[in-house]
Amino acid sequence: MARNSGFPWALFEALSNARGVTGDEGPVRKILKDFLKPHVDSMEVDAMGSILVQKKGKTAGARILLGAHMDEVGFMVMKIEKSGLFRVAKVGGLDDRMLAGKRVRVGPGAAPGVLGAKAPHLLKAEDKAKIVKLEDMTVDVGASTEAEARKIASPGDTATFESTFESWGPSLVRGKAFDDRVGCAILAALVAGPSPVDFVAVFTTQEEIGLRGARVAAQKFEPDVAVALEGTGAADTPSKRSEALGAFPRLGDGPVLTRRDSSTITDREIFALFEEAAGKAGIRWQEKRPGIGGTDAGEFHRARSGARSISLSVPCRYIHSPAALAARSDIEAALELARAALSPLGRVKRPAGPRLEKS
Amino acid sequence: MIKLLTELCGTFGPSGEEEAVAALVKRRVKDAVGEITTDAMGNVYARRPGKGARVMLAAHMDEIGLVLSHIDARGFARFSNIGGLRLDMAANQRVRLKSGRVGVIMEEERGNKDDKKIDRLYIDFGYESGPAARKEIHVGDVACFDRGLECQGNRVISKAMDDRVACAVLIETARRVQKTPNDVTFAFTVQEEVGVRGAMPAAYTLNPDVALSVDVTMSGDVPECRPMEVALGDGPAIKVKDGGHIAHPKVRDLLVRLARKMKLKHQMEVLNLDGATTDAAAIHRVRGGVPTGCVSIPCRYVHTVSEMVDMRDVEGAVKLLAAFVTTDLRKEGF
Repeated sequence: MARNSGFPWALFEALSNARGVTGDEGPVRKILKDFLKPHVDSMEVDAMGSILVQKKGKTAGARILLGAHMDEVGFMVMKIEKSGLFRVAKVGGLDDRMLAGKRVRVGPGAAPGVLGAKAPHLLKAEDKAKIVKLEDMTVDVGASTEAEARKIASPGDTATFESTFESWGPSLVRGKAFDDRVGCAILAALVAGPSPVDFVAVFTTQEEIGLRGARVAAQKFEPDVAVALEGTGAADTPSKRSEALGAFPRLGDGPVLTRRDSSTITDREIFALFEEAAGKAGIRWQEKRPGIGGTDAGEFHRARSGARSISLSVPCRYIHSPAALAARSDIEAALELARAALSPLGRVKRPAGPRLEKS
Repeated sequence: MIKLLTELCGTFGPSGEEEAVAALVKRRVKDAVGEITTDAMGNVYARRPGKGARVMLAAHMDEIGLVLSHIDARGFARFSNIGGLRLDMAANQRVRLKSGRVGVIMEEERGNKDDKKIDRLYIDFGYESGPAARKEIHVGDVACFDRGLECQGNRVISKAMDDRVACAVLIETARRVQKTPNDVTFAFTVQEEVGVRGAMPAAYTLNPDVALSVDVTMSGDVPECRPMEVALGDGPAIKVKDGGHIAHPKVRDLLVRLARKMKLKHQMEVLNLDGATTDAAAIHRVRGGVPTGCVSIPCRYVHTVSEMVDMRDVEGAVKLLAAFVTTDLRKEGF
């Protein structure tokens, strides 16, 4: 179904291309701040580097927090060899199987590099079947001495996959860091547009290594209800166990609603609220496979006295790689669903809880 | 008390779906404690307001279970665990959905041994076809194990003893203690089994001066088991440490002193298992920190359908908690 939700494609493209490994989210933050500035009265950046925006809507209602994380998985320089090669470590969940040979951008100047491993000719027969681990790879930026390499990056500097956002086939887009720049773009669109209710938007840091920015951001606001906007893994690649074990979510089948993942059990009333909003707006949605993955909602829902929380995601194939794929229609529909849920979210009531005198 | 324990253990309540347990707890505690409230997470608070120290006693309402992750073309279901499900014990067990529908967990006879164990297990709910199944069961439906309670002498065997036995202990304590110098809240928490998630907001809300969690602990009194001093029948266990919490020494020592004073048989607990912990792990780190201890009910075969406790330990736990909440905790420095 063709939709026109007003999704900011140019912003998404810029965000996907921007470099922002966990703890080093500066360039992403800058793009978002520049985009948001004309649309908000005030915004602040907290001690963790998260952007916090209070969005004014038509009415006040429940305290709603919407979050998306700015950081992406990547690498950190650990050591520079005498030969000028870099040893790097993973930042966040990276899969060794897909690393060797990938192009990366290293250090503050984004120098091009490649993740090098032994050539097949040099491998022993028994090693050919083995997966090469990142610790056995080096990043080669073409430096031939340690001193040359040090001009490019120092230990502690980060490296990202090299990848440029592009259209992919008739209906998909391809790029890096869709997890979670797609959530950032959706959230930015919500802030930029008119809203029926007040909400707080938090663009968080350090999600990929344990939801660290989200914890601090949510503590500040004590939301009644919280939504993590995410890019989530699609599970629709062929497998002979697909029929037995299920193969979802799928690209093109709509935004994903999570009932349970490893970080959060979604409040059932909030889940039903999203289901109903989707139904009313005619938006097809799909289930997230229970038990897998985790999002900032894991921190949102237990901030202070607790907040009813859910994750709304765009399914992405090959997530945490330089070439994630997502369907344009899923992205548009996710923004529409988030928008459709705002009014009902504003009507969510927080149970009274015990009435305690200040001690 | 065995009647209370039987109905608590028999109630459906895997993490995140504790409503039926919450409703039962409210019914059973309301005669003893007037002020009962609920929060956004579903935690239940039964409070007896007072002028003294603010005390939080916590027991979790949820139990381990599973969630359906896929229904195949013939109506067989696949699942993901809720909490620390022991897959070796899950196979061949019966499970029950909230709707009452019963299924059996079976292992694929010729399944690929390279697959993860959980991917070789399926649930047969007895549906004759995929469409028939999909009319009634859905991805996201939650099930608990289906096993009744047996009482033989002092020993009681049931599913969900973790942590309904502590819910029973809290309710019984609330009934027995009529007067206390403290401001006492019995907190029945949610989502402990998935990572002590309910207790954190509960402790934030209550902002207690001192807290106790009440939970089961493992025992070291069965053949070829991990070395552990705790044994069934030797009384409630006063926690020293577990995989997520070191008991505050002042709270721990007060519990020991109270037990000795009333000549109550008790034992010290050191649970040496990474990650194995209780609500105390969350409570003691909330806000500026809360002095937190833990009273444990020794339990064999934790996280199986046959968790076994000794009623003398349960009774002892009630006595110890009653002594704790009737002690003027301000005078004890809290």
